[in-house]
Amino acid sequence: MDFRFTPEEEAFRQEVRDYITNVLPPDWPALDPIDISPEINDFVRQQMKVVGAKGWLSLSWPKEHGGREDPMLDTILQDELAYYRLPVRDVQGVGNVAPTLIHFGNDEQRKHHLPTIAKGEILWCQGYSEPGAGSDLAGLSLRAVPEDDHFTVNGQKTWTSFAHQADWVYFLARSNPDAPRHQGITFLLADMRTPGISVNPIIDITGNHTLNETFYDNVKVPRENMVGELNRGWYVAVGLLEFERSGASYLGASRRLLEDLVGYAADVGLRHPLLRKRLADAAVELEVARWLSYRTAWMHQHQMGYSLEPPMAKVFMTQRAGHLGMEVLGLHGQLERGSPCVPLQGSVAFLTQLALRETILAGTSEIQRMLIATRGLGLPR
Amino acid sequence: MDLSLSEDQEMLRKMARDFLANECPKTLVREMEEDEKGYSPELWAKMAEQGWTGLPFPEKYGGVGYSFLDLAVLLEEMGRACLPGPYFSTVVLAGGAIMEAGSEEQKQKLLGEISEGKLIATLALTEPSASYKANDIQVTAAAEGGGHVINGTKLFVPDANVADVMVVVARTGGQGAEGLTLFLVDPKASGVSITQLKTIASDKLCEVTFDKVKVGQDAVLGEVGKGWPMVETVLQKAAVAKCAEMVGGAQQVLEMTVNYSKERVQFGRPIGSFQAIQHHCANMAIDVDGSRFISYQAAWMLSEGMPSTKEVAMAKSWTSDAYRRLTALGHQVHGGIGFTKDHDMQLYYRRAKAAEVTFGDGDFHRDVVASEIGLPDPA
Ligand SMILES: Cc1cc2nc3c(=O)[nH]c(=O)nc-3n(C[C@H](O)[C@H](O)[C@H](O)COP(=O)(O)OP(=O)(O)OC[C@H]3O[C@@H](n4cnc5c(N)ncnc54)[C@H](O)[C@@H]3O)c2cc1C
Repeated sequence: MDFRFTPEEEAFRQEVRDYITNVLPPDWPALDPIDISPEINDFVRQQMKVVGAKGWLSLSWPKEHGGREDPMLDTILQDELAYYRLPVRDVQGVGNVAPTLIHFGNDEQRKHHLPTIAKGEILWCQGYSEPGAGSDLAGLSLRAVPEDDHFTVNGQKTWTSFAHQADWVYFLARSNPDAPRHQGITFLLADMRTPGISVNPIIDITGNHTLNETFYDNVKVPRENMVGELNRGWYVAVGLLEFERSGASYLGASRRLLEDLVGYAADVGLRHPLLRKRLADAAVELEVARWLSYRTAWMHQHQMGYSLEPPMAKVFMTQRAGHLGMEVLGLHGQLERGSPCVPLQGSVAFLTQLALRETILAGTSEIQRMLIATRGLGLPR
Repeated sequence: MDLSLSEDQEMLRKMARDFLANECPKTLVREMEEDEKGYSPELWAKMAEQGWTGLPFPEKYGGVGYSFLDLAVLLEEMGRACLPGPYFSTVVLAGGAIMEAGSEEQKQKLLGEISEGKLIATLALTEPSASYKANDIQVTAAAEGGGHVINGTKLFVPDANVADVMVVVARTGGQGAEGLTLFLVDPKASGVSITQLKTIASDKLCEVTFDKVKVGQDAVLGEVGKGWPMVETVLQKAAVAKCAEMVGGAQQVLEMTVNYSKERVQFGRPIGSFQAIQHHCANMAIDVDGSRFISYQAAWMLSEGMPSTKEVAMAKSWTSDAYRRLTALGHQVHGGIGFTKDHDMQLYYRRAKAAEVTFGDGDFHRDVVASEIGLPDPA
């Protein structure tokens, strides 16, 4: 056993930190580690290209596709970016689309899309959920009718994060309504500017616009945008779950919050034993989370197959810390960004709300626990 | 980073698992709970033959020269098997103290005898104050005629009833961590009396009283007045060693529970198909893995001689609580049958509760963590 990062990994972490601290403007306003909000949009889009040029958006890709084949570095990158709340690694493009195309795409698709992702030129969004299909994703009904050289797509997706900013979308559509549920779904890609796609904002609990409904009205998606085979899209989507899934961005975000809270307690001289206990608890949990998370990266690095590890990391990491901030800050915890007397940029009031999303998005905690029990522990369905 | 055991460690684990499955069935565990001595001398001899009693001691003292991490692997298996007896007291506690503090001569003799399986030993540290802090050590050792005279009471001393020698932590002067000395005391010496306590885990904890117990100069382990730092090191290792045992127990409870939930049928289906049961099992699995990593991280750091105050405290605070949570959930899944003496679940639950409070409970260690992460001292 060896619980250390290699000197190269440590050096990489330092390099990432140096880059971020050099480039990040003072009073960086972002609190959400993934939201490219309008006030930071120009800066983030420009920095995406900078990190792309460093090769940091293709760290875990195979060498033949221009990557470094090093999922550990990618995990470290996510951890640090989330800590500094700098969303320059597109969760969807880098995290999901690229590995999907590498494993299930064809050469044309790879040639078309991998370079733009690696260079940080475009943003992707994910069109999975629908009003009638959330956890039960295979119940989706957005229709894609295969015609000679294209699909005609009609229907609605919802909760499409960042669809209003994204250049491309990957989505699942029902291509054969007569087949058994899992065998009539196709995995498609579309340019968001394709005629017939429209986006309608949903304002979230924090008042921010990150979510959208997306509507497809007779959208023509070229046949070459199909990933994998016709009606086999479910298996592409499931295969995607096998990719790097360390949850390291939750880790970085939690680490930041905890450090801020400990710093606050030290500055203000909070000495209540119960508070010490709560913060210590959070520190211990974070350490456990760190290993559950880096374990998946380590397994990925050594090409070990996952069973219960990624859902375990996600459930564990997202159940934490929703209330910790307000417990430490007390009355001051309710103050929002921009308020007089607000400590820690109002991050506590904001993150207290944001915490609610983490146990829901990308598969609810209930679904993750089900995966641990059935896939991991072999309990009967 | 390497989160797997080495080939040798895997081999040790497998050998230990097989050995204990044969030699330490639950019938023996149950028998030893009722037994006056609490261990089987035949099994002890066999363990010594396997090299276990000398596992972490250098070869030059007759040991096997394995690392603390290797020892953790073995202890995990012992926790899984609920191995009864004085292994922990002898090897981790007393052996650890002798390694830290002993003179060359003491190490040669005592570690050699422990390795051969001829010497059972323990550490007499805690007192009626039930504290692991230096401040609370009140047993005294007054210098007299070239030796010392020990007076006072130790409580929760494991396996003193069968020990051939006790390492006793006593105050030779000073305050707090200053002026504490380690003594080697024969439990049969005049003035020593030993009373067994009755405990939740049915292990053999004792009250040991010292009434004007005279010891010679050669009874001092290490230097007079300089004992506490050694005790601290032993306590760090003991806390993590206890974590390793707990991880082994936790793994076994998870496996028992998952198996049971596949077999037990209610409402015409295995209870493991009910989602509430699945979630309990998922939560248990998370606690097993979390405990495993945080405990092995600490064991690895101690093994490498790295400063690890924070990581040790994190490991014990987490694992103490996680093992308790997990055994309780295991019972919930087992329903009524788990509440019976006949069922093995109870063996783990009772040991989990004892392990939770031994070498500092969750709150004790969280307090250490709080200071380590830079929080101001408590009000
Ligand atoms: C902030 C945010 C961003 C998102 N971004 C995207 C995105 O970019 N693209 C996208 O496609 N989707 C996105 N989603 C959608 C997300 O994937 C779904 O919300 C999620 O899968 C749950 O679906 P649902 O909301 O319909 O809840 P439901 O599935 O209706 O679940 C409601 C409750 O029932 C429980 N439940 C459901 N089924 C079961 C079961 N079998 N057993 C036990 N409990 C069950 C759930 O755990 C939950 O507690 C986002 C969601 C959020 C909150």
